[in-house]
Amino acid sequence: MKSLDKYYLEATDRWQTLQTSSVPVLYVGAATCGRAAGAGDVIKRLQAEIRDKHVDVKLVEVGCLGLCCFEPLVVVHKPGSPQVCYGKVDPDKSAGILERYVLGTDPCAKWALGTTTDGRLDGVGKLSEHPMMTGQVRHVLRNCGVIDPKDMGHYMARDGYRGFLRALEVGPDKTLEEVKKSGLRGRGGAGFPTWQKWQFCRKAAGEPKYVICNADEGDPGAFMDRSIMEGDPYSVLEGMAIGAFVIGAENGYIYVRGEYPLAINNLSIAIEQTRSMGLLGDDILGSGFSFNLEIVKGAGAFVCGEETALIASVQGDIGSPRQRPPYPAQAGLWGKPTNINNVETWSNVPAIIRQGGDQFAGSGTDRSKGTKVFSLVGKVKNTGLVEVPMGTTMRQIVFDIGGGPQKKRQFKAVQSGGPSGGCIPASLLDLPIDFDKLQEAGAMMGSGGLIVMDERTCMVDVAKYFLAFLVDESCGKCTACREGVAQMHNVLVRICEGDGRDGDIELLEQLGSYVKETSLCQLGGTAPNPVLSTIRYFRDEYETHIREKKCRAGVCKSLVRFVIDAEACKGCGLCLRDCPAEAVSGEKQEPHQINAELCVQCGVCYEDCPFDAVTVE
Amino acid sequence: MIKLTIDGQQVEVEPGRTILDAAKLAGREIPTLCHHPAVPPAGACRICVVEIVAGGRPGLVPSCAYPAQDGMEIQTCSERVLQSRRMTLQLLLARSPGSEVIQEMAAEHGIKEIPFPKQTGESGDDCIMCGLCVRLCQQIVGASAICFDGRGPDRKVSTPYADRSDVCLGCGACAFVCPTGAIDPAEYCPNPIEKIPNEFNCGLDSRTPIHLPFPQAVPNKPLIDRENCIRFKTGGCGACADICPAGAINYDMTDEFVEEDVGAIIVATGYEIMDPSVYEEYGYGRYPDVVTSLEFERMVSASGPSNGELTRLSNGKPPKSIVFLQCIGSRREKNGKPYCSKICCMYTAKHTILYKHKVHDGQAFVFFMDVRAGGKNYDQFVRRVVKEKQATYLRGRVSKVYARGDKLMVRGADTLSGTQIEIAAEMVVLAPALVPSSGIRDLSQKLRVGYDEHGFLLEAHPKLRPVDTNTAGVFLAGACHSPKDIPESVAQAGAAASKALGLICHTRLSREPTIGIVDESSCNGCFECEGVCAYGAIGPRELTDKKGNLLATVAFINEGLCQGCGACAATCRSKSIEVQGYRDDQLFAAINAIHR
Repeated sequence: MKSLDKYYLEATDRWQTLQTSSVPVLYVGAATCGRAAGAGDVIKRLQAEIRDKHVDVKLVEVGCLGLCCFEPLVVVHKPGSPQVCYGKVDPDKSAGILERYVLGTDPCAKWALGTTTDGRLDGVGKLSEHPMMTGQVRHVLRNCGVIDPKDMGHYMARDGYRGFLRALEVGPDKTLEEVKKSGLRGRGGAGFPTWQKWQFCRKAAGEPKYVICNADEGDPGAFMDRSIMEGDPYSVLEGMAIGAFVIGAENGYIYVRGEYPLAINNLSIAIEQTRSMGLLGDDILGSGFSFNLEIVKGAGAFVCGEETALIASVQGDIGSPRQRPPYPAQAGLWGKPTNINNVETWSNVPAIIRQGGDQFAGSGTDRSKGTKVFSLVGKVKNTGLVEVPMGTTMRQIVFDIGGGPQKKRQFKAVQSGGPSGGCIPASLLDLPIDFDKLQEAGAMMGSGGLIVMDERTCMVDVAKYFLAFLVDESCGKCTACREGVAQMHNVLVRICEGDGRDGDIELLEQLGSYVKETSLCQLGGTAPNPVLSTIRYFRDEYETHIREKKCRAGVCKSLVRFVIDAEACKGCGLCLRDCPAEAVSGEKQEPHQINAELCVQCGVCYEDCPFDAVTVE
Repeated sequence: MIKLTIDGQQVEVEPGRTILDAAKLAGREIPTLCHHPAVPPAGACRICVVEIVAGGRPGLVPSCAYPAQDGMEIQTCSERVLQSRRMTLQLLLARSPGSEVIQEMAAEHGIKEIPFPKQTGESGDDCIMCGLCVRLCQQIVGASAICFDGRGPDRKVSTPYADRSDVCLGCGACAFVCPTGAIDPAEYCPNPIEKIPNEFNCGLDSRTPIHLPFPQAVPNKPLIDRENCIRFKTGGCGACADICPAGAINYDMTDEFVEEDVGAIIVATGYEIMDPSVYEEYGYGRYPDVVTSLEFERMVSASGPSNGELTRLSNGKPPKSIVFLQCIGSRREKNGKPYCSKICCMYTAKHTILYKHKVHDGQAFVFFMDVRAGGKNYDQFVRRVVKEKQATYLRGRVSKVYARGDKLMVRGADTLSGTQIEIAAEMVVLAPALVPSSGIRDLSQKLRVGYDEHGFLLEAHPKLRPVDTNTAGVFLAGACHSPKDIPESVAQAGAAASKALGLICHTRLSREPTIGIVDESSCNGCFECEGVCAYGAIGPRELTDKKGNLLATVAFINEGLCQGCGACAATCRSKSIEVQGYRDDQLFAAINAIHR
């Protein structure tokens, strides 16, 4: 304990020194999203500049702040000034910031998103007042983009592992009581009360017991788990250690998809560091409690997010689900009691134990407590990770935080919960989001993916897209999912190609409810949701496709004819320039025309036209 | 015990049983495809769904894979269940439109048309992806020769790399359990799958390693053929033990020697027929349509390989003409058996009638040397056959059988008309000679019973003691003695049984007084006598003192077996054996009395 206390002191000291550093520090968001946007080049350029200019500037790679649309992000600490966050930094901009602000005096206000610490800087507002940050409450993401995910000291300095130590102190019963008080529900999709799940496994007969972290994040458009693992891996480990302590498990596995190499890397380092501090391993801090963690890499099958398929995969079998019961809490990994929670759930646990369940239960709605991280993507201005208290309305997320649809287009719907979820139309925008409300609306929380769709999104096409994904990802074990989803997809393809028939909607509904209730696992059990919810809220679009053979959104190529409204057309020539089929003709400043025979319905002109003169007939 | 309600009926099952098990107990039939009692369930095909109405999480669950729970209320054919089942069948029918099993099931559920396009070509085969074969091969047989390939609608059952599998045992269990008959193991098995010939049907069909030796076998219980059983070959499988409700299967049982003390032995080892392929002129073994009479007997039997349908082995069509050849090997001095096999004339007459029953417009011919129908009503029977034109009887022998086209040409002599005859037959039935069972010589040596040059056991006296043998207490019954028909065998068996009973029904045996006696004081235990005793009456006897110490081992004569022949007495060098009543001094006294 003594050496641990010493380490806490050291770590806090080191963190404070960094925060009040006398030399400038540049924090670069270097999670996968940042790297994809070019953070790697920015880092290289900054390193070169620092070397060439012989200046004393520190460079720290941190995780993701969640402001994806502004990546790459650089936060600048300049002694004596508040920290400033810059967005959309390319190598040239980074060199500019270094030259003009770090070494000079110009804060480059036009690139700055806001200040992240107290104090004022001319022309730069506070980041917390940035539209994308107001309304957010960052508990789970509190360390993401702030600490160096490869330095355990940073985590420790920010109360890391205090929750686990408290658990060891008060014992498993009281720890479980705190989780119960918090009202935490599983963040993986179904929203099962976490304390109950733990209790089942704790009381189940059989030794040894296992805990597993489900990090097989597979929903298209969801990436909060990756971000947590990359930006704050320690919180996941701490949560798992607490859970294992309550349940009485000595071994844990983190099942990460192989497509997340950075997450695997950061987790491995975190496990190693935690073990070297004696917080993982045998007889932790002399408490008699032993806990070992291992990472298992998945091969990228969506179905392996289903717990029984995940267990099969960990065991080295084909990742196919099996019929429950027995539930994993009774007979899971190697036939032993096993508790599986998702990354975000585990990550929520340390704060609950550290600060008490009541504090956690203080936010959120009646039956859904705490905050939830959503990945806001699609046709919305501000995309990224947003963490809001449960009960926040969809309107607040999409319009206030997300800034509404791009290009002032009309909002149409938001797909919640990925391929297993459903769409929420504009009429339900004021729905306070929690597990139960979404379920009632025919969607689901899922892992928290929110895909925003505007007027130019065809809902039939959206349903078709998600079903194509599910046809690909169905394991094929049970007839209902394998054949049923494929047939639903066939019908949707038919409708989108203009071959829809009367009765197709009813057939989809019939198949949908069949697949829902007959499938073996929840992949099939939720697969029809995108179809059923789009039919529920946008039945007229289906009918237009089938009866009138038209796609008003201009997406289904077989059903679309683009024409130029001669009155609106200013003859700018943008469409003429971009048309890949040379189907557009017309003189400058004169209304253009589209030759329907040459047109391939790619929609480039429709997207291009600044005057909305290209219309769908 | 777990109590649950199925369609309103209360059932009790043991913990761990499935809803399907409970439904069976309640007499409710639930259709299944991917289920097999020997294989762990998967709940893959979803055809067996039932509805949990109360006492559990309500909804549809697969009955084959869902454990029965206390207080459950189950509906096996609610509208919700039937709707789901119908949709499953429609989807399966779209996938495997050619599968008769699915077609029948769909028809039973009133499905006429399906709202989906039917798959054609390779993707539309009979496999419904239920995975029963894969589970069986992995979890029961333990070979893991087949697996799934791909996922979703592209899932296939295949071998690794779709190549012939090195680990396939060729057991064919996958094909056996496949609900739609979609598997041909020959496609992936590296070794040709050898079928196990059914011995009782003369190898005309095959059987499984677990089989009943023959219908009406006593005891009428299945047995496991160790040579072919996967369990004994590889240590895998064990499915039969898993599913036997009586727990009657024990793989550790082995053959064992059982010793019994008995007072009498009846030898009834029966006969075999000689292999007619030694006579190449008849073409047996060369032409599939040349069969033995025993094979013919199985072919026309209702419990035979073709369920009584008589067809040619070459092409599966009924034979329109048939020729029966008598005395194949019998009554043949050179290269055969000189004796008459006695039963062939009668069974051939019967066969011609059976043939006409099966093939009404067929023509039957019989080549015979002379008809020996010497039994009660036998001659009348043969005459009826001839008179009713069941068969044309031709007196003479056949010189050659050869193939021409799909016909068998039978060339022979009709000695009554003095002409050469050639008949185009579609089937030829041979009546081979009867020979004793193959192990008879070994047995006769063990029993010290004599046998003739052909191996038939010798009776003690052809006229006066036809059931006895020279060894006391050993009796003969049936064809081990000579070719016999059923009435004769039954009669002899009855006689042998009463002889045996006559022996063992008394508490004391009476015997002839003239038997050998050993003088134990002079016997030096050389046991020359044991070797010469034809009746096995002599054995060793240990002499001990009062404390049990062994003093000497001397010859001992079993009074019940000794026939008093005196061979031992003549052999004994120490003159320690004498025949009672024929001691030297008695003989000399008799001679002296004559001289006087």
